[in-house]
Amino acid sequence: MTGEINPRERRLVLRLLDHWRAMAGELDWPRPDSVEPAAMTDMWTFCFMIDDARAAPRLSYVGDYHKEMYGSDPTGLAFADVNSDTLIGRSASYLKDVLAKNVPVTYGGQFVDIHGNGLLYRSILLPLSTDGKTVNAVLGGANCRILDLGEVVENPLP
Amino acid sequence: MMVVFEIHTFRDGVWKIDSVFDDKELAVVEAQRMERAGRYSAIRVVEESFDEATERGNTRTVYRSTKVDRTNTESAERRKAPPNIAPPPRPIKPKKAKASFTQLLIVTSLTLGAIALAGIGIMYALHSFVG
Repeated sequence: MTGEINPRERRLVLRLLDHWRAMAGELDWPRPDSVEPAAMTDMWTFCFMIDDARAAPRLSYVGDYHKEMYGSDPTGLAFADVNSDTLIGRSASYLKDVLAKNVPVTYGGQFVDIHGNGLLYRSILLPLSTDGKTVNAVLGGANCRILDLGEVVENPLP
Repeated sequence: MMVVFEIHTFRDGVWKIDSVFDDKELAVVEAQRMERAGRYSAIRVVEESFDEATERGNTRTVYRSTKVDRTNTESAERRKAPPNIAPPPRPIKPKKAKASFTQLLIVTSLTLGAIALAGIGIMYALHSFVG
């Protein structure tokens, strides 16, 4: 475990992974209520949370960055209703992989979003558990760079 | 072809999947960061590929590090490095016992001389007494 966030690490996904490891300590997964926005003020806007991840996943928190990229506030939306051609949609699309392996998963790629922007993005999904036995929530994070449309090489959904 | 890179950690005799990446470079960077933290006795990055057309998968290790590997690497580096330390001074050889032997010869000669002189003196005294 790296224990604490390395101040020299600039990549969002690795900094979030550091934070997740610090929250977990000796546990396999941190508890959802151990996620404290005040402890990650510089990253919180890039984050989102998925509750009831196995039965009926829905977005319980969406950072301002993602609201802006989405074009509205998708907080509270059921997972199936989130537009997949958005940053948050792409970033949460591999939820099944996290639930299958019960470990952090990070994917990235390029795509053209619903607003016609070419995006180069990197995202991470971090498993959380209320009872310490089953992953039932997920902390996500993602950021992106807008590309010239000529640069975009469309990747399939992760 | 679908390819992912898994970081595996070894601790308390058990290998565990720690995290999954779609990018080899990022996975290796993270493995090296974890290695520096020193929590695990071994870390490896395993490439898992799956060809959906043929439904065949393949696994290979693309990075591995153990504390033993690290120690061996450091030892090898030390051996390769040119010596930058001055050679140790020659040990001072202890002087052989020649002087002692000479001294012994002198002492022996003097002793024998003294005995000879004493003998001559005794013989002279007896000769004078008898005469």
